[in-house]
Amino acid sequence: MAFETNVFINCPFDNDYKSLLRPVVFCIYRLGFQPRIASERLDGNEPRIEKIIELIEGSKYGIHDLSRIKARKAGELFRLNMPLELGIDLGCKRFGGAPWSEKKCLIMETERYRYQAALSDLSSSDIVAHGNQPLEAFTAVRDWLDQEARLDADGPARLWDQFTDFMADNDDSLVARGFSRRDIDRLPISTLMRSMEAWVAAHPL
Amino acid sequence: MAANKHVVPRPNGEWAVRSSGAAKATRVFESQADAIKFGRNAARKDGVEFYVHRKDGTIRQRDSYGRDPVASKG
Repeated sequence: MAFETNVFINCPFDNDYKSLLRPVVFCIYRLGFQPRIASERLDGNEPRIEKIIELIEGSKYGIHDLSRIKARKAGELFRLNMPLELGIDLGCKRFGGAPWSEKKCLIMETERYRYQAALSDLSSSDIVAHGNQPLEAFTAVRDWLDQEARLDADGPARLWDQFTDFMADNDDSLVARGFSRRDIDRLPISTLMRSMEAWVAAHPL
Repeated sequence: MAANKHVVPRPNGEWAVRSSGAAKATRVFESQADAIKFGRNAARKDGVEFYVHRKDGTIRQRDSYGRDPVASKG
């Protein structure tokens, strides 16, 4: 896969986060890029960190969502995978030489300044707040890729509407194949990615 | 053949009614309930599928107003 068009997504893969991940992945495909996530390959024998490093090395673009690093209740540990993977990506850009010096990062959070308490080294970085709103996360990714890759892409509303067209078409297809509403809502992201890729190929801009 | 109708989220909590493949929304509403009412009437009139999307774009509800005799609501 091509380094220039690969977009590494560093985020949690639980059901709760899928509401943000689905539109973000669709946006990446729709703009002509290839999303790369750790769960795209289910190989239990491969150490996860090796897979992450391979994805980071192979992707010019990286999206890092730090919105789920906070523990949700007393006694729960906060999640460190996302900051670790962001650190590897920043290190790859800084120390890797060409072509990795051209890497671009988008850092997303729920609130604009919340990360500063936990990750103050990033205080001068440009971080986009999505407020846990799927449409905001979608727009942030669209605007960032449009700017960094100089795309002159269609506006967020038009691309979002195409996402809803895809979701309806995919729903029709899954219902016809015997999937329940619950099955559809819980569809693995890797399965959804294959459907998105096929839909985008069948509906050129 | 008329296009299917969708109720989809817009920024600032608004909801739009749009047709599949359309470049622009037919109409934008402040409440989802108003958008559903308008969209359902349009789908019924045109005899097409009607989709209500959640804020994340997934399908909350799908009703069929097509002319297929085996089509069912819900």
